[in-house]
Amino acid sequence: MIIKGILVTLIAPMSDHIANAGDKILGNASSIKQRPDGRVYISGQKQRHALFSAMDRLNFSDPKHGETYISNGDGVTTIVENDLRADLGGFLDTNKGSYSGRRTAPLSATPAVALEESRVGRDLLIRLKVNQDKESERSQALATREYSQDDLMLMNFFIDIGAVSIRKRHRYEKDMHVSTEYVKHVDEPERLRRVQLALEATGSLVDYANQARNAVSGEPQQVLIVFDTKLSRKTSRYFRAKDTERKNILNELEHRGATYFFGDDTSAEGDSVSIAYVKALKFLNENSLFDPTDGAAPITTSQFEAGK
Amino acid sequence: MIQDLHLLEAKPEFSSVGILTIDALAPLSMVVKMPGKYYRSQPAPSDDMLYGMLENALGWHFSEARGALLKRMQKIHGAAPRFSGVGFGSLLQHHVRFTTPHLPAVIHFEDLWAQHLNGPSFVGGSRTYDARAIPLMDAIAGGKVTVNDRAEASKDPKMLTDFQDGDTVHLNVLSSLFPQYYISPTRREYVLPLGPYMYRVETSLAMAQALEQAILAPAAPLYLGSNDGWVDAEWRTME
Repeated sequence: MIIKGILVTLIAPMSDHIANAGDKILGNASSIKQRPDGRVYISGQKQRHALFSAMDRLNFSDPKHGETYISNGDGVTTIVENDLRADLGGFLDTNKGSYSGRRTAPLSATPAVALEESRVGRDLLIRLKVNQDKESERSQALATREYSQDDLMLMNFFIDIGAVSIRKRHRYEKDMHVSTEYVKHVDEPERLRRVQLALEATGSLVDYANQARNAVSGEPQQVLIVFDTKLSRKTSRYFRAKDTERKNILNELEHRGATYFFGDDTSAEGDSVSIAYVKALKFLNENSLFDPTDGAAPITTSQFEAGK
Repeated sequence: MIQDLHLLEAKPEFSSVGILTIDALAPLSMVVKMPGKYYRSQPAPSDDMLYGMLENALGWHFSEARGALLKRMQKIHGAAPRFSGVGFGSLLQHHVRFTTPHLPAVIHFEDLWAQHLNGPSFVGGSRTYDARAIPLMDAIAGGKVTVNDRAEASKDPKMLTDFQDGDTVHLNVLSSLFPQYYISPTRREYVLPLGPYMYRVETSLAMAQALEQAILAPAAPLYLGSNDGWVDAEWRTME
């Protein structure tokens, strides 16, 4: 099978959490984020952050990582062959001019949203002051913080395989004719390694804000991994759907030749989450990635930028 | 992916009708133009967003060639191209029109979005910086020292530690100790559609068929508004 897209939809239990908060790791709210329908959520931005953070750890421990790295979110490069964030996460570098400074992300995420209405509690915090200054003579500061008690968070990730490590350039020729040039920045084994890292990372999300030092983890309890022949993300509805819709979603996948792996840690039947990931990674290695360049030799970013 | 753009040379006609149904798979943030401080979402996609989505499905992501194509179409069709609030000019604008929209009710909510900015106000805008800047930052916060980018401010790197009350320090002294971009949380509105968006689309038969094919096997993932605004689209050619 030629894989065009990979969709991962998963359910991760979180308790007593403010997953989106914190000053350090891209959090931007001090309370839990909640939608008007009462369900708490984690922004798409934070989801992408947690995913790249997991990829960074996996990449670092992979003996085949070579020159590759994951740049900081505040300093993305344009070097697709080395910087995995530039490759999978895209970039906008206005200094590069035209479209060599711009890349649409092949990897996208939706906000993580609780499956049911959440119950929000309030935690009492005491800020201990140790300064000797005048202000500290007053009483200790007390504050309350909102957190969510127990949620099953629904998360979705998608990889557009035809865009991984590949750039497109279009030239207007004459009349209404446009020529399209595809450029590949790394070889096939490295593309495969990157897709594999991204897939593994969806099962290893841990970089959320820790409420009062409680570990908050986004590791799945249930997961559905889809290797698709079409760029479709409709399967992201699966865990929200009732039985009939679930059956129809899976039928549609089978009908168009897609392959999927389902893992559920709460059920005695079928595969567990870890077995589903093992099977999915094996399948990924035995099949090929869609390559719009038709096996072209890789070139560097500086060669690409010089050739415009 | 459909490469044959000669379809766009034909005289616009609207004899065919297709029904376009769009289901949101995630909350959408459909901002029509670059705002200052508040990213307000429309309750429904603008025509330009719909064109953009269809062009994504067709694989017409012609960044560099778009200007020349639009000029050529202006010559053929005699009408100046229309551009969206963010400067997007659709190639489909002469040949496809959206009529009788059927719009779902939506729930609105606001998200805080950490926007990466680059500018001189990083001192007040970033919460993270190098530990070496702490004494000076404390003095700035206490109003003892001023920081700005005026000519009379001191650019001496020693000012980082050897400052005195009443000094004015230049931003350059601090700039290397801050992140390359500072984070400024911005309000961004999202909408949750409670049903599908439906449009009656008028176009030529050839274009309707091209769009039907493109939506069946899109050349790029479909979204509305922002990158995390995932949607699923269906097309039915009616006549």
